[in-house]
Amino acid sequence: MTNNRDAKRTGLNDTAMARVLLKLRGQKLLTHLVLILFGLMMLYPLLWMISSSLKPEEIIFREQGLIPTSITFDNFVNGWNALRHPFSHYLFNSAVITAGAVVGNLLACSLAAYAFARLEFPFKKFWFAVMLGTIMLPLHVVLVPQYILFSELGWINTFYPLIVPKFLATDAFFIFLMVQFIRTLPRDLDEAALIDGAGHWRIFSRIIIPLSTPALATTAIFTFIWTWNDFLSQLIFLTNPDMHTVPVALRTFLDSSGDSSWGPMFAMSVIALGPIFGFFLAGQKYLVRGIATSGLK
Amino acid sequence: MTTHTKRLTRRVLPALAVVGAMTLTACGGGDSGGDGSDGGDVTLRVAWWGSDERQRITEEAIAKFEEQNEGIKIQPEYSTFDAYYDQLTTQVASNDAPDVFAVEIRRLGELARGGVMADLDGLVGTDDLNQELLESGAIDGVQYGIPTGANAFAVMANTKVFEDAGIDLPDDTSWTWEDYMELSAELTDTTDSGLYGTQISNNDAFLKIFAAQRGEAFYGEGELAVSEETVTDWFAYQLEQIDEGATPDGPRSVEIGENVETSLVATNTGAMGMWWTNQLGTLTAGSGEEVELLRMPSDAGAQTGGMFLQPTMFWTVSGNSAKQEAAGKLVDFLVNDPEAGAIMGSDRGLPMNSSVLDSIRDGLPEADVKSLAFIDDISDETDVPPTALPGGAGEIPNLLKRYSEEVYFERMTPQEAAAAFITEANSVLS
Amino acid sequence: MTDIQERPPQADAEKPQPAAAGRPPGGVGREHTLQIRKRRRKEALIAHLFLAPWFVGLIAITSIPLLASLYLSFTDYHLIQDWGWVGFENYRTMFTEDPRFLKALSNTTIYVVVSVPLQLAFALALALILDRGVRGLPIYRSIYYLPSLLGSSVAIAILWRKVFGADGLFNEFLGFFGYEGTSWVGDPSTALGTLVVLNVWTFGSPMVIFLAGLRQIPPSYYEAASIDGAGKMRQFWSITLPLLTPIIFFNLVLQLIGAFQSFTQAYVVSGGNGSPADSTLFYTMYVYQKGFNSFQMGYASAMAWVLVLIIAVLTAVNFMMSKYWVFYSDK
Repeated sequence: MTNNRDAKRTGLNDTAMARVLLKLRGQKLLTHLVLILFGLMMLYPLLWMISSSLKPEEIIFREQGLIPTSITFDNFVNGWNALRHPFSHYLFNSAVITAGAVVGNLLACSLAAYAFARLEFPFKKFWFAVMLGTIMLPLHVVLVPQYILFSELGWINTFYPLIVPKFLATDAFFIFLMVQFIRTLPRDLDEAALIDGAGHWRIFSRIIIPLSTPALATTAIFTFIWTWNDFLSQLIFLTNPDMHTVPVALRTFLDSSGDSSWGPMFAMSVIALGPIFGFFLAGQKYLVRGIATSGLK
Repeated sequence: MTTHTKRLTRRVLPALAVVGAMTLTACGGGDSGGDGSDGGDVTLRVAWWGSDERQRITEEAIAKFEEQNEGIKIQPEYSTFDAYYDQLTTQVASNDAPDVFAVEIRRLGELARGGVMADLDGLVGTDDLNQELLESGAIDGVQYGIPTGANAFAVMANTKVFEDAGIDLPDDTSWTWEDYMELSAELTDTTDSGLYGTQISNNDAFLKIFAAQRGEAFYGEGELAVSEETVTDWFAYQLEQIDEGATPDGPRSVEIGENVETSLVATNTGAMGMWWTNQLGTLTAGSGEEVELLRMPSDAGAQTGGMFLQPTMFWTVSGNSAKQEAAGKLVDFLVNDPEAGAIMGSDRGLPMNSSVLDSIRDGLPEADVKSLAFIDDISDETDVPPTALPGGAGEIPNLLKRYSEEVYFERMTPQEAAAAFITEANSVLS
Repeated sequence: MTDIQERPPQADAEKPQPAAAGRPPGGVGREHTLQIRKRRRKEALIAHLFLAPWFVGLIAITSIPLLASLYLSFTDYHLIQDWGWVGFENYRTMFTEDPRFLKALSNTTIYVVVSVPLQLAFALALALILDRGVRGLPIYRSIYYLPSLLGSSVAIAILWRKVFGADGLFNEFLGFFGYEGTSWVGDPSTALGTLVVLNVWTFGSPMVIFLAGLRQIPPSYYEAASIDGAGKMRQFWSITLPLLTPIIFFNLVLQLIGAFQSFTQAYVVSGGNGSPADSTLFYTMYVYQKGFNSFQMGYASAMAWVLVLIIAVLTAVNFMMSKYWVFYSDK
């Protein structure tokens, strides 16, 4: 990144520089102020949820304010222990599925994406269209056939239906994502390598993959978040409560005919946000480690 | 047009799946985990919906059952109500239904007529059960479902809001719909802004009672029996409640919806509302105040009070289950065993087995004691419980809600909405 | 990596070359053609190896349910009752006898047309602001991403009422200006609008993709441009924007597909029935209602395939248009 301040520093006398700096700082302060205010507005629902998770359950809907009048951790304690297993059990199940899905998507989708982005083969356009087409059908109408398929395979109440398809690149979204990213990489890189005698596997693993860190990070983060939050397929394929995951467990707190445990639900929702937020925090530095920060400088 | 047999229904999709299975044989090892029957043990899959509390006590009761019946293992499957039927129907369509599962009355008829459920005659003891209520689980003389318990739909009043307004609770033995509206409007006027007399209910039980008072049944054979005039008057009454300020305005009413915890009575922002008796506990806990049960109002010339006992839900056994005997044993235990009754209390409605009820009566929570007393009180006035509803009845509540909303926002007149509602309902019902 | 560093890309600072001159024209000699053919065959083979997992998944997992649903769309498949072949009956019914289908279609179209451009503009604007070396960038990025984490949570039903309900934040805000609003989620004329806002609110995903895309642009382009004296605006218009077009295109295609299919948020916020008065009845929600509430999975499948057609046509148009505005550096 070019830095304005460094550029301006040379050839200015002290007072002029101070004035410029002051102006700059004012501008920056304003930027920050706007960004923070905007952030707070964006976060209001989340803050409300956190605040509610700390209120005694009976007063969550009776009390309007954002600041709790009395703080209790009962919802966390009760929520953690309310279900068949401690909540950690569901976090663990979700973590296993999510980890499998992330690895599967990274491997399978990047392979497919390389072929679509860099290689020539017959009917490429057709297959690309098919690939995009598979994203277009809503999940709900394939659910029953999928269930039959997986139950014929004996996969109901195992994690296979949620993990194996990822290793077979069924999330075409990410293939498309990586195709688009790879296509922003100048082709002379791999052509040079090709002339140097490198094979496609070498180009893929040594050039494209390292240069696609942002795309891979995006894939990893999105897969993580979507799998972590996915409800319907986990509900359908995992009916045994021992196999329940976080989204399914969270809904166990609710009953539309009344008697929902809103307090524990909010508390566990806050906890369930932890891993995805953590993963995002950890992963986001790779998001920006593109060409800009790699050896190409 | 649909002349195919059921056999085909269940075969075509598996056939499609087999193609996939063959291509994947390498990966597809193992049996589906749940129904292993090693060493003569029987594993029953049991499904129900509900929140964490119901899940906890049901599992506790199940553990008791497993203790008493060596060789039978229970594999519970549960989810929240909204997701329950997604799961269940997927399994039913895939020929993989749980051995025992709960359904509500609106879906019982449809599933039973679809050949999904087993005849429970001889599998479950029914002698001590309330025979009138038991009837509601029978279709054409075959007992497909055993009711878990009963509820009544009633008016509930937050005494604190009444007290603060300086208004006495009404005499519910004689009040009319006009009284209900006037009282609600008065409560809204005399209390602070932000407090309301009542909130809208578009529950089909309300309309059922409203119709019964005019001598009309809600459902007939595969269609609605309620008259267009009655539905028109009912919609008009809802609209008038909004116009008179008895309830919040249209958008607010929609926002409040049917959620019990966020209802006006539960948040001390409204005096009255209509709910099922098993929701009294939640309302009381939410508001932190006394909530009283009141009879539904009725007009002077009414033929009946119209109130009725509703089976809260039914236990049923899958018609495909190879373990129907064990499944019947479990259902029998859940509805007839005093120990099970003591653990589960009134969670699935007030128990309808007289001996179970007697044995747990003293241990019931306060709200249940109140509900029980109320149901005893009105027992002379109640109509017979509903019998199994036509197919498609599960969609009627949403339909009713949608047309109610068309009326609140004056996109349709009550007359138009009633006509459209009846037409659409009859096209859905079978 | 060493060989890469030896060959930095030859960037034209003024304007990145839109279409480098393709490959050298094929050789003249016969031997040469043979060689090319052999090379091509080898490349195709390698391509299929790279695609192998995807092909297996397509055949074994994706295609079966897909084809099953296509077949079922020509039946009156009912999850519980008997069913049989009905030909095009489902397709005819939905366009001629089903006002709710048309309502769902129009709701969804409005939603897509309004919320997709808004969300993308928002995401791009914030990505650009955040890319400009603001201090504490990771913190802002995380904060702005948080709503997207929460967007499909079951808690959002209550939380959205806290913002757009009668006593929600938005009305409190309006209260400062002396305007007394009612419930925005409860009014059929505004409920769809709140869902648009909800979608825009979860702009985190496209923003992250934009940010990643921005970092994919070689800084040497900017350096060269600076040396040539191109200003910030100039750099934005002639470097950032053209080089970002594949990513903008990607986001556009996928947000469009995603918005047409959007389900969870509307389902959770409206309690699953498109309330009030069908004003938030989305296409996929109606598909879901028909399939899982009415058990008419055949009809639901037909609707799903109409949706596939709509999306496919739009996507194809999108791809055709992309020739005119999307710039790939690999050309």
